[in-house]
Amino acid sequence: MCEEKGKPSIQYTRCRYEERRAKAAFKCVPVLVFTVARNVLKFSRAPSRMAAPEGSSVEVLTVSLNTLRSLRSTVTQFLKTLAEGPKYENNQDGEGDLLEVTTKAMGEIRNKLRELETQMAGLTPSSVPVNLGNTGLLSLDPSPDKLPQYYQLLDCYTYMEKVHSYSTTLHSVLSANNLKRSALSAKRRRPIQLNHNVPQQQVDMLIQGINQMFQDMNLTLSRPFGNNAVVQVALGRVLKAVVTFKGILIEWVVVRAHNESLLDEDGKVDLYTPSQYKVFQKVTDNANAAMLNFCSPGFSDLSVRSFFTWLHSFVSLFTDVCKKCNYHLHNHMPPTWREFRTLDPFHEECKP
Amino acid sequence: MGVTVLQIFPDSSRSGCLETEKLHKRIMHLDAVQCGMFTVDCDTCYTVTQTGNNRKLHIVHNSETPTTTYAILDTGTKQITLSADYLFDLLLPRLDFMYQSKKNLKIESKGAKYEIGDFVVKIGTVTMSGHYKAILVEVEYLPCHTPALCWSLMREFMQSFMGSCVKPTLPSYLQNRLHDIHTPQDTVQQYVEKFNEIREGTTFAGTQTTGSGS
Ligand SMILES: [Zn+2]
Repeated sequence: MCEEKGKPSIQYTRCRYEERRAKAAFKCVPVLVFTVARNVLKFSRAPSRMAAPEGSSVEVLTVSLNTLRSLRSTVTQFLKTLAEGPKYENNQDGEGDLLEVTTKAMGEIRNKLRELETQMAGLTPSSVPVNLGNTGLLSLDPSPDKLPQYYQLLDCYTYMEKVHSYSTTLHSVLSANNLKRSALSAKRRRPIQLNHNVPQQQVDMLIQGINQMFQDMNLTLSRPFGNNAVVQVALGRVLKAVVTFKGILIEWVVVRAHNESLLDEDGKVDLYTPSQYKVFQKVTDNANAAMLNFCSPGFSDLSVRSFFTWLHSFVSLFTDVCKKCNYHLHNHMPPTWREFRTLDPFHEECKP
Repeated sequence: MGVTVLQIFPDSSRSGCLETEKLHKRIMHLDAVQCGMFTVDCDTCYTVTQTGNNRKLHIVHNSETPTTTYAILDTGTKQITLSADYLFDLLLPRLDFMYQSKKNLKIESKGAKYEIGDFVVKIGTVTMSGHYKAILVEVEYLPCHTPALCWSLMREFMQSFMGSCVKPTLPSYLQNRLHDIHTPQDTVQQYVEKFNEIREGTTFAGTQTTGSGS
């Protein structure tokens, strides 16, 4: 599969180049040629989009890749013939001869294409497709200089997916208590969950569940960037927050005051602008620290739930006194820190 | 716009600038940053209708909202606030058949403005037609907008530099608006309330003897 990735672009450039030459020579053929070339390209990309197939389908994949290769060479041959003319050229009867050869080649292409189509039907896409969102549209871009970007992206995503799955496995191995016999056997029971590439419904359900957990905390989910969710939080009259998700992992948190807008001037969710108030800048820092603390690759939904429980404890940001010094203010700041387990309020300087 | 609380700082020596100097020193110890000046002025007009009920119209300007004129209609029991454009001032002389202004009642609070973290403190010297009357301190906590949430926090802050003159109970004005979102009108109304207290000389220990203070 890896060898295949580089080829389509070269092949394609050649197709285009030869097609252009052919266009100059035969004005009636190009439309047909272009259609064929497009079809070939469409199929040549399709298999690479699928992630590692399991077991027997590997053979089917090999066979269809071979068919694809021969289809390509037929097309190249055909275009070559078009551009250079038939080999056994005959001065008196050139046109008729060429027509005959090309029709024959076209027939062959059609057969190969049909064969490939049937083989493609036998292939099953892998169970967890990489959800690229709008980036997936890059594959449709026909301009050759941009094409490698799509494959580099795919490589990148696959690499990330591997990193995530290795780290998940490692996490479960390391966190298991090896002194217990049950730990070793229970290790593999839970299917590995890929956190950054989950169906949208799962995130929707999770956020909806959290929304119902707290009366005074209102969560609004939107997807301004395609696949990944952005949750707008309104916590009583105390604060607002924007929580950006990557899959089911929290990627970024910004906390702002109740009167500050979560949208920018274009009406889009503003993910980055920090609050103008020092209190909420501090809370933002602490919220990002908490997000990292709660993150646990094996139990991502639990970690999201604990994070929002923690964030909810800020409903008493202005009314709570510090657990240690019993004052509201220290350095003119209310207690901006909440203990992860007990949710006790502390000043930045009084943290245990 | 955060929650604003006004506090009259007692000035038994009636020296004015000595006490503001003291407050300035105390507040600079709290790592405050001085950031300019402020003025709030209030003109009061009376109705000249023959019905006899004593209606007042307060015209207030606040340097924080320089393009707005506030007109507060005070019937004694109820206060109605109108926030208008600055041009309202030009409209007012045309209403002089209804409202008559008394020049010597013009009262204003003027002074320095400080920033401490998310707090804004304004230490104002109140003068009525040129005579020193009192020290009025305005404290605003910017990130919070509901008095109920942040009163005790603000009280703690105010006590940290004004001491025991800050009462543990909420000012009556805020008491009635505990769960409302605080607006610039609320600040101006509190100023009018305090100005009235100062005019009547009820709260200010130093004004038993009326007359010029300096
Ligand atoms: Zn503390």
